[in-house]
Amino acid sequence: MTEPLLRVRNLSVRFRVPGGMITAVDGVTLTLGRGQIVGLVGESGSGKSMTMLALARLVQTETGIVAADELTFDGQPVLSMSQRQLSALRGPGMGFIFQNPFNSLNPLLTVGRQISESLILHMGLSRKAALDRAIELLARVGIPDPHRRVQDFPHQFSGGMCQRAMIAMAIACEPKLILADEPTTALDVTIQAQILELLGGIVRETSSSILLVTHDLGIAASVCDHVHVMYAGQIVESAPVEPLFYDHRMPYTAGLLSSVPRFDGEGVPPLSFIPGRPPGPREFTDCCRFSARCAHRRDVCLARRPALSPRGTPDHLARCVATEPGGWLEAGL
Amino acid sequence: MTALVQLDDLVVRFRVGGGFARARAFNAVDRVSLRIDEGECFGLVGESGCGKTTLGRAILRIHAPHSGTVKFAGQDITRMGGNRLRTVRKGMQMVFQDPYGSLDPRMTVEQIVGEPIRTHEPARRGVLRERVQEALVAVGIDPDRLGDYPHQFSGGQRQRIGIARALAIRPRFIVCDEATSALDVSVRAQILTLLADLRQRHGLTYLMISHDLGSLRYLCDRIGVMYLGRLVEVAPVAEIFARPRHPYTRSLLSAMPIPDPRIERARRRIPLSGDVPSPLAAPTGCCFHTRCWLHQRLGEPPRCATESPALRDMPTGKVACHFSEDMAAQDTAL
Repeated sequence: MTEPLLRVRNLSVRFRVPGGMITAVDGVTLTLGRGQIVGLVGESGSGKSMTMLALARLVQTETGIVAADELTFDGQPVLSMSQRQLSALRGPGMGFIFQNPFNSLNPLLTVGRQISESLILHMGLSRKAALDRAIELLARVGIPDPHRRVQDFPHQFSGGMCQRAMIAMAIACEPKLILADEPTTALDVTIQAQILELLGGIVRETSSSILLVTHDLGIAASVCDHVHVMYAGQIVESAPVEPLFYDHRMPYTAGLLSSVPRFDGEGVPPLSFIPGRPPGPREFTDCCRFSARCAHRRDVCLARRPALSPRGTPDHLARCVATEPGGWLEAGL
Repeated sequence: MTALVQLDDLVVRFRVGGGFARARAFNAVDRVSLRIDEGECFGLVGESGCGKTTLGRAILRIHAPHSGTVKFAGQDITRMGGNRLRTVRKGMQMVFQDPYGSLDPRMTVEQIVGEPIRTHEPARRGVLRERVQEALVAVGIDPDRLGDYPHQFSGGQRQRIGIARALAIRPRFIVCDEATSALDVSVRAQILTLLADLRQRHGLTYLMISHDLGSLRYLCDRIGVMYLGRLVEVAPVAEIFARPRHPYTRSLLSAMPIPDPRIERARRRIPLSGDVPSPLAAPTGCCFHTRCWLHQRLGEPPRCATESPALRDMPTGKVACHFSEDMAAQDTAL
């Protein structure tokens, strides 16, 4: 087997806050293969975006402390890199797509200029060649009339077109990994469908990988090969997409899935919900962090910290005492 | 059943742009006729800018209609003002999307939830605290927290407080404008369950405005689909999901992801090209024809570009499409 593109072992992100430290990301371990779309799914405050930023060393170093036993991208250790090495890594290695396309583009520069920037910086293209390439990229992401639109400013683009322009910037240097943080959350559903289709097409054509941060289980079901579910700063379940949806081994995953009101199928199934709310980083405990809301809780859940351990196959992991071998939910949820 | 809300040919017009020579007007809500029965839950779905929020606000007379009529409980309130409008408004309330922005951070829960009572029923001040506590209990907030401020509550709890405020004067009709959109999945299900429960217990009538089809299906009896200010389809909830009659509804349904990988990956998407046109440059004829897959499949019949389709009766609902009858055949051929 070839070396995975990204290998992360025991990643943590901690922040200095008045009155102590909080741990926003706690012991995240994951690998990402080439040509894969991997989802990080969770509710707000679960640490999914922070994990993504930490992987690219984009956490503010004045307040945030990123540590990991291993963080390698394409065989290179990321944590020990200098700023210069990081810059070389981010351009051709990683592309970024953020949630709000309006805030992420510079309103004072034309779209073409913004796409050209990384091409000139990282690929050594001339200004003219970079602009030609920018036109090709705009065409690739489905912007009509790219020769004219390349001269436009972001305010002349609609939300969907801004997001396409961001994707054009992200793929400009043909990165091996695209980090996408809620790339369609600010968009309407018909535009969302177009953008997801585009991202899937990019992975098929270029064998880039995508790490997709989303709160939407429907999107994960639609495009991801493998999904990590995060809760309270930790990965609580990790599995290829089908086992995750059909054979989950963590009560939180089950609760999340049954909380989504479905519009497909016959009749209206009763909606169940998880009582309470997800804890904030100041409320993280050393026992099972979901136990306070879990219907299957027993005393042992509060007594020890559950490990993320395999369930059946080596690529299906769960953090739950009840579904461990010998646990009271071993047979499944 | 009696109609609680009745709209006839309602137009809400906004002016945009600079000096009055350059000012342009567009219809944010364009010739909408609709009735919502007493006790019914009506859902309104559409993409951003389609006019669904404006329609909801026009019913509450937050926006003044340009033409057409708005009736509430049999009374024509289109041009009503002053004290008479205030009396009518006792029967209608609104729940907003943003649980952070819609509660005044300097007011206590008692002041927030009590405000509609102070406004509408000043004579009942003696029982104010009792009424506030009753509303809080109804939405599952500890009534001992009367003196707390919004920042002391989580997002889901704040949304419950927003609902308690709407309930406090015992309205008949509540407009929920994306009331669950800002909430996390697990919390959203709690609020949906609460809304369904309150409707049962108090016999409320809802207008649910949302872009989330799953939430609408869970709560609503009928659903209306809006596009560029027009109501393009209205149908009972089971019908609209099983047999959409408008090509836009069909595309909207196919674009919503389903959290089930096998179903999701076996689905046929019916993609829409491009973006929603600006309402200032709304297409002639059918407002949807510039993005319509059915229009393209049928070889771009000129009628779509020249004649605006009326919302006409179908066996189970209403649809505004000249070629709705041809849709099923074209859909399977795609």
